[in-house]
Amino acid sequence: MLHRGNVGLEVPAESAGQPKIVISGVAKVYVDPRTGAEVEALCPVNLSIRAGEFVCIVGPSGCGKTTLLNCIAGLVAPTAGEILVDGRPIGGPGRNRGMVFQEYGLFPWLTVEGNIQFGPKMRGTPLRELVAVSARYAKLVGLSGWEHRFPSELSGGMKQRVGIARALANQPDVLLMDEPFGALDAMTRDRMQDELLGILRADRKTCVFVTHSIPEAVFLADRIVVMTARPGRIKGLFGVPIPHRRDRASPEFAALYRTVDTLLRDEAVEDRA
Amino acid sequence: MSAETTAPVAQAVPKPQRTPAARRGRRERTIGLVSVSTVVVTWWFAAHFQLVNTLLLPGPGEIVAGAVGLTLSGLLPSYIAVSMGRVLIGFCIAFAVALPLGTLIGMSSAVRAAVNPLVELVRPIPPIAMIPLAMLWLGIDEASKYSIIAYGAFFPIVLSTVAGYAAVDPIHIRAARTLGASRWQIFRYVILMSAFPNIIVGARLGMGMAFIVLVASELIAASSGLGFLIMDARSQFRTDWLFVGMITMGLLGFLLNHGLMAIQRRVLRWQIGSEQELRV
Repeated sequence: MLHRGNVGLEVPAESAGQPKIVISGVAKVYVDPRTGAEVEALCPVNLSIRAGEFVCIVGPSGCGKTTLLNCIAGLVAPTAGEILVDGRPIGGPGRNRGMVFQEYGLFPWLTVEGNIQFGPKMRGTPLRELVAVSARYAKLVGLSGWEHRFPSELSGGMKQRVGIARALANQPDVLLMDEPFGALDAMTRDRMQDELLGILRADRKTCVFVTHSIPEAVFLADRIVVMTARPGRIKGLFGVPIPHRRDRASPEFAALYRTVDTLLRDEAVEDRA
Repeated sequence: MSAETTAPVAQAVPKPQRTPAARRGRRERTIGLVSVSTVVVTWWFAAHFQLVNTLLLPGPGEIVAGAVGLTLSGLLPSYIAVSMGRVLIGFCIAFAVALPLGTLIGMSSAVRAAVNPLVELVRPIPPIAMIPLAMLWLGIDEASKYSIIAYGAFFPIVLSTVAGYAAVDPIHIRAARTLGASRWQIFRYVILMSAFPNIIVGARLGMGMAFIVLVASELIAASSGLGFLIMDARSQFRTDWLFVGMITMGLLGFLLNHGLMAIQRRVLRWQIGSEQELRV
């Protein structure tokens, strides 16, 4: 159960089979519709993610980490390169990849239940099963009894629980999370990190998690991907060889934190120069 | 890996309480009731002691008597039915055209570019100015009234609908796409739902306009309806009937608006906190 990641770029031994996600040469150039100016958001990125792996992407603001995540989700078409999921190139969003947004993105006109049921409902799941689905996932994220409330009645942490439940209820293989706890206060954030690991343990998923918080990455990840400032490229890969439930105050934790932090700090200096 | 940190803690569900706002609302309703009854009593007093010319301003008693007479003769109920029929038919025509058109304008920039200049040119013409043209083209029967009422109600609905589509949050579309919704499902379950609050506001504004245009058209060219009733009462110098007609219109307008507001509150109960804003 405990995953031991490998430091550096070498391929971990567990991924002998086919990787879940293969990102090869993915780059993105945005064109400003008014000026026609080109902005290079993402330099060609290569990354391979195993099934069941929890990968955190950290980097400074505007380093293209969200762009990369949106490319995996199929919401943004890369300018170059290819993304394979289970060996098949992606051609847009798909049910096998669920997404959790920083701003929650809950449908405010639907109750907690309605939000969780959204994905299954779209593919015509019968009503009776829908009720079972929403009850099960509301319970999974600790929101039993709140099914008939609207998002406007919930706190930030509870909203994001609904966001996670909504993504999981669609039974994706891959969970893509775009700074999901970025809008939460520090205490709620720590608690949500604990709970996320518990939820994912119960429901084994491949997870790509974008954050700009190094402690969050060190706490959650099997592997940390450090990205440079714009145009984004991968600067370093770190396996996290600390067994879960990680102690945020332990020396190993602090050591890894410092390594990643130093790399990112260099980045900030280079950026200014 | 112990259970107590990984299993999310179920959160207690709070019970709704009587809020200070609810108490303040009750107090305000009481004050409102007192103010209305003060006006009515003063009016009755002024008429009863001939402080005003009762030929021009009959007392509340005379007006109630007039209303009873008109109701018993069947005239008032039939006029109410005629007028409400015109409002509802005209409004429904307007809604049936404005909703699809507003949707097309909202969804397609090409349609928007084509239709916007036309809307902006025609919209400033007051519906009442359309009455003579409608009479020329369609005569003085029902068709001309339906069309003028529909014309009046059309613009508020179409403009609010367009505003509704502009208010769709892109993140909801992205969320729906990652959840596997098709293009049609995104329209049906996300875009339309996002636009819905504005569409309802537009319907209310349109209904208000339909009512105004109804009365204007009945004043100018009609042989039935509440507008006709007050014009007829004026020519017969029956001020009591005139007031009956006016008050009936006020009550019907009030009921229509509150009916739509009740629908709005019911279907938009998810919009907690923005209710004030919606009471435009």
